[in-house]
Amino acid sequence: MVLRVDGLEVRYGKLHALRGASLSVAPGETVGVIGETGSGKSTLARAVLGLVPASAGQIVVDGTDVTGLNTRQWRAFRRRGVVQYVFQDPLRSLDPDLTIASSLTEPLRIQGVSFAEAASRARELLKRVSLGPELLDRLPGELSGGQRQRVAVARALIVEPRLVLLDEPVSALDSSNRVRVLELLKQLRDAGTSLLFISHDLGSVAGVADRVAVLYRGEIVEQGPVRDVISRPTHPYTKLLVGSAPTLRSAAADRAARASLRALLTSEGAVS
Amino acid sequence: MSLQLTDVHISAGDREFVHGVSFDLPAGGVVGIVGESGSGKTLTCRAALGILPPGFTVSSGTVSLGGRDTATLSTREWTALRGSTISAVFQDPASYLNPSLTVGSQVAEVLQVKLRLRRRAARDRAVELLDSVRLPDVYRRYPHELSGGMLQRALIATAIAAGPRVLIADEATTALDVTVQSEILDLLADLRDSTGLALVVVSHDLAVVAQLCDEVLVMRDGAVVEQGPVSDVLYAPRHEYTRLLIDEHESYGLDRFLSLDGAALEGAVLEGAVRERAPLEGADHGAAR
Repeated sequence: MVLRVDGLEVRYGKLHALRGASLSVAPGETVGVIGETGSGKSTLARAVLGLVPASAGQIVVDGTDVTGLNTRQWRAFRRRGVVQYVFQDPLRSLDPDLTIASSLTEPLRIQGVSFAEAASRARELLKRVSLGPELLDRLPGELSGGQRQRVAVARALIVEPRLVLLDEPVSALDSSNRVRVLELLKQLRDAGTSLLFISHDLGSVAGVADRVAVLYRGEIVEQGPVRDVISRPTHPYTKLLVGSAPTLRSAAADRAARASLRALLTSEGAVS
Repeated sequence: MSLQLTDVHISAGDREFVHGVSFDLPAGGVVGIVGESGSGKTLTCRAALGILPPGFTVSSGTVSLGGRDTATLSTREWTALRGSTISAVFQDPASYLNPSLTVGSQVAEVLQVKLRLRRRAARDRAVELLDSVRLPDVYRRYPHELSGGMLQRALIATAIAAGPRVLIADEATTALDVTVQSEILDLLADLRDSTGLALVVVSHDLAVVAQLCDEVLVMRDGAVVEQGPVSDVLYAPRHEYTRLLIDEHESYGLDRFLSLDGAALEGAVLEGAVRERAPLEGADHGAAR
């Protein structure tokens, strides 16, 4: 497994953001995590990147148990470039003061790759995300949102990571850029990169992921192959989620079905 | 006719931004307007509400409300009609509520001003209205204590407080999670069924409009490129832009799973819902359809 998360709990003071989440990503597999506001999805991303400590459970990345690593050990682990990340706002994964060339080559330079080789890899990666070499000398602020997000993906790939974690990578993009980035993710998947794709939007994840996990109130309430989860959801929240998706051919649940699912979830929430 | 637009053009100076929009919205009817930002959909709504931005005018065509040409209305008459005949909710509900007043007092204020209710009566009616949008127990809460979906429901309660015949929902669910979006759209459909409220639903998302509307207008660059009954527009789109919107949905919405497994899904969702139905308030509110 490239990633194994087992019984992960994260608390912020009294708030129980994750209540025992378990999931795994096999080599070459793309796993989608669906979660809406307050589900704990960003906490999951942060925990996997070592940005928030786990209160219980275990995270194993490419054979290394990272759960108990201290700050210095984390830094050393990150330097190996095993996991890379892409966030919703590419300005968060790209340094606004560095040119695109520097952002792309920095992770390689840290690993001791020569300047010439790093520069040639940078050009190659830009090409792979369908951007021209003329962007190398620009700053992130001089690019469109869609271009920036593709640069962020290129930066994540340049060290040939075992796993790329994407937290809402297309949510801030307009529809044509969203389609381009999703197409790019599909190409990565087909080329064998392992992806953990976290999003509130079942539709964008469904087109890319092999398997999908549904995160609701800090727990993974359902997971399985995309088609099974969408066509035969078992948990009431997943049913509501699928039945709420606006579709053109109105095959989704009707008002009465949604109303009873909401009532059921409210009553469960009141109990727990 | 509750609301009727006849070849409405909207201009600012010598530049025209909306090049002719027409639709008839009967009581209990639902018209959808789809388009991206800059398509003229919001300007069209603002013309219907009589709140065009400064400098913008309806340069030709007519907007009539309850059979009256709104061009003949004085500012005072417009103010009287807004809220009591036509009303609206927009994206970003938080910005339309005063953060330092309780949600209930803001609904009650509308009733005191628009319906001249006394304080006590206004408060009782406000509680009823909040109940009707499934927000019991929020009268004394402040806006920051409510989620985005709850705020939008509170705004809907405020918008329908004075009993309008037409409600415009302009991107009212755009910033919300999909399960919250469906809750708002279901609420609007319930209100239409129970009170005959006519709706204008405006969205950049064709599927949101398709859920609810009888007739749909597709706008681009200020022009209506396609208009007709929802089923015609979705199943036999004539304009290239409409086809583009549909293709996009089919490649990246859930439709491709649902069109194959749709029957199975509906069965699964309904069967599960019936089996697990909890005897709770609100559990049956959609059954009256």
